[in-house]
Amino acid sequence: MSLVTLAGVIANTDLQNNFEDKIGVINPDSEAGGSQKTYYQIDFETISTLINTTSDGTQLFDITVPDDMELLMMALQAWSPDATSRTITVTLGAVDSTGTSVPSYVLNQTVQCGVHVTAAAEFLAVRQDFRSSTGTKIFLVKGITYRLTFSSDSGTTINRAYGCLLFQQKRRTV
Amino acid sequence: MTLAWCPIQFKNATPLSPSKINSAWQKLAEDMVDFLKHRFTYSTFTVEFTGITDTSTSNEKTCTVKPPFSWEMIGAELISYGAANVSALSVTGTPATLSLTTITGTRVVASTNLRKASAASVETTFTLSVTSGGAYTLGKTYLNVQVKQDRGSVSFSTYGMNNTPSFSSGELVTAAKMNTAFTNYQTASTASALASNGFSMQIYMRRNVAAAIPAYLQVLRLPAIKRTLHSFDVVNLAAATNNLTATITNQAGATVGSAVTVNGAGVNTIAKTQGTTLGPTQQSGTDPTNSANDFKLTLTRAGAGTIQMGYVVIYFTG
Repeated sequence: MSLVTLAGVIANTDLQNNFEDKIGVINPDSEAGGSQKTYYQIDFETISTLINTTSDGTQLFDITVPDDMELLMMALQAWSPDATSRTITVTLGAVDSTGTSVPSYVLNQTVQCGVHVTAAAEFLAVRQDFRSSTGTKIFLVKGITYRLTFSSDSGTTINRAYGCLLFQQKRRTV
Repeated sequence: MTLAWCPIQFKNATPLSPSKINSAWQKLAEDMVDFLKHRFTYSTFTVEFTGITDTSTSNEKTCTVKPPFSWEMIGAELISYGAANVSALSVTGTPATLSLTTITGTRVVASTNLRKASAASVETTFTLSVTSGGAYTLGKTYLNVQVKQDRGSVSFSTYGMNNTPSFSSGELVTAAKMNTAFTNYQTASTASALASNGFSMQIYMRRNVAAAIPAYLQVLRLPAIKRTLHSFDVVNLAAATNNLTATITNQAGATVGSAVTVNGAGVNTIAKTQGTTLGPTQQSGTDPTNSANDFKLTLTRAGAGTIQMGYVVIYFTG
């Protein structure tokens, strides 16, 4: 739709078109993204010594989010030094000020991404897509500390595992 | 935030009165003002200090950002799982100095909600201080910084609309006046949509980079969501001839902007190239769940010595 230049006897359809055209600019930006929403990425990484008994904090990443945001996607990559079969998983949760899990802040859902490595190569997990209008939607709440936990099912180390979360947020008036 | 809608349905053979037109203008103006008021965005970035040792230099305990936009730090949190022989950690450069004591292997956190504004293109350096009684290697330790950014006031009047268009009672409804008003709305809404309208940044940092960077440490993936890669900084702390190169490529593998090489300036001297502009847009129509659409930041290097610290800060808008 685009503006119609009005002239002479103004047709109702042209007038309606022009008003709807401007609304057609504003609303998609409001609803579906564009200038009324913003996007950003949080990265997290674990260290190469991650194994199935790791419990020294190197497998954790905590972050307190500054605003309400909608989780769009979760991704995970892992590099293996050898052909030992193992699965690396990252799980999103929430914690309180003492680091104790509060699962209600992820709606008691299991928000997880895993990748199975079987060779000395990079492996990409199937990315978890939360954009569907009918599927699970995860909203992070302003001021809450969320935790990403890496885990491995093997006693054999990896080279590296890292992932990211993609978010969209409403733009604010304050 | 409400959704815009037209309160009037203009029907053929129905009198077009000034009051009817005015009410439609008024509603459109209100929707536009509401649209323009949404100017603030929030994000975070993380500075990694994991692996700092008692032999790390003071420069290795710093991280400098230079955002191309004005921004405000609205909070920060320092999280650490400690290290043997370490009794205290603190970070300056935040809204308030964050300090941790009684550090064991258990997670400890210091945070602040104070605010610190910064103009565009001004450096902010985060500096870690460690109090120790012997040799140490820091466990998982990182600083999360919360950011608020204001795209600025995009005012209605900027686009020639000092007043909502209106027709006086009895005034002839002219096509020319209406065309002018629609054109101004067009300009305002289009400009607002295109304005720099959000801000975030990411830091990709590697420490003790060996002469040959393993492939698994070289790459940071940037999945395709609708945002613009605005610019990036490259920082290298290394002896001369140990050079660090950062290259950003799109989904086709083509270099975006220019690759940047920062030459080592000495083990006690931070060398950096800041503000290399980029400018592509990762389109929302491109599926971020498909890794083939990822942009990539790749680090490569030259020289035979260890790069003590190398990092890239990428600035995004949108």
